[in-house]
Amino acid sequence: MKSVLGRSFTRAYATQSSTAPKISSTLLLSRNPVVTADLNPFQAQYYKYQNELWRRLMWTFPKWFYFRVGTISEQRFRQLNKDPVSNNPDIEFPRGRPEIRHQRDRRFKQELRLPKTYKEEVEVDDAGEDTGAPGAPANDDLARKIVPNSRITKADEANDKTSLERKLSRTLYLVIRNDNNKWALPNFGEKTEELQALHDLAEEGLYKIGGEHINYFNVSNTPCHLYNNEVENKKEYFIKSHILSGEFEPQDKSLQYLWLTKEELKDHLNEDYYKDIAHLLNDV
Amino acid sequence: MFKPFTTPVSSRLASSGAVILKNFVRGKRQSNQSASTKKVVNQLSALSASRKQPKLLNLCNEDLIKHKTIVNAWNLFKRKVQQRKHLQLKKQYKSIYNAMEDLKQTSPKLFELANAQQEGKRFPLEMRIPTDYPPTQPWVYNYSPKNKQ
Repeated sequence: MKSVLGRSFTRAYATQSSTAPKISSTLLLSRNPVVTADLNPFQAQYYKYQNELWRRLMWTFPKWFYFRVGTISEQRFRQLNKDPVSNNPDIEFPRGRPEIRHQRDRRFKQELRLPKTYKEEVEVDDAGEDTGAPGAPANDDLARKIVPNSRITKADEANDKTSLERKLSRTLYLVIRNDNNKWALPNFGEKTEELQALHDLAEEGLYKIGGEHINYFNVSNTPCHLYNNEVENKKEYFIKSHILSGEFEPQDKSLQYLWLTKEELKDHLNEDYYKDIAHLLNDV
Repeated sequence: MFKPFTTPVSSRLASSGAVILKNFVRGKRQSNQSASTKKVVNQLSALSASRKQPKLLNLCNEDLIKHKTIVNAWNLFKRKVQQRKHLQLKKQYKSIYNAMEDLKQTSPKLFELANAQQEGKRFPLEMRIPTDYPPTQPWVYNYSPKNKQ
């Protein structure tokens, strides 16, 4: 009872005083990486080294098991994979004698080349009539060449910072240009008449500025950070969310927004503000 | 060693042409294994290590030192990444703690709402695990909220 009274007193004081900071909710909406993180040069070199070691220590490929002797596929395999230099006793090998086992020099890694199941584009063009359908093969053909999509998208090439398809390997954060004409994370003030939970406030605010076609996942109802905005006399509680699908469509045409990485946020945000929230942002 | 057939049945068979043809071998030696046994032998030959293992890696001292340096550098790199991550998590925990402590003082009602049990909340199935290469359509735009349909 006593504690409840105490609380009500403090709340009464807080609402009466004009200097009490306003409670607001700031939304930290992130787009998680779509592709794996880029490797730095050291990582790439180390993985290459380990890969080479692994290949050097691999057993010989049992080609008799996969390509039955006397078949056409075995013939194609043999055409691609020539036998290594044989250990001829009449020849002197200054860099060591080859040790041939199962047509493999066991001193080195075995380099295998498998017959292609598709025709290269040049070949298709040259022999257009015998394939019947010139040009690219059918998309559902199981034997087609597998070409992965580029990790650099059109949005990257156009440097479109409002696109959700930019920088697929990085986490992007939504920032908007606020009333003071400065870039900041979207912030929504608590209404005076009714107290609203911080995550509800953030959700309502997001739908209000960005439309309802946003599928997002709220990590927790608990605020993850508090920023004391002394200029506007505000207490900003941060709510973390991930956008899963949909798009941020500004309802107000004049509203400017960007999807930025951590490094870009550093250039756009106020210095003190960035320092305060830097630990919430993902390096990847 | 030659073994003459003793039983009358086999002697009768031996005299017939069919059996002679069956035992006739010239040039290529035929194994007397059945087809299924051959199959198993073939399968085991793919799995077994016989004559398939590469030569042992014998590094000279210099190469060994190079290898150890590479592995040490990698361990150092990983440790630094781990430490950075640990520090960041620590900071994040601290900032959650601070925010909640402050909210408790500022607005007990909001604190209760923020601390409430989130029942029925599930991890979203739409969330994607990063892959090496993006899908043909990197982002799904056509989403409409369920209650609006």
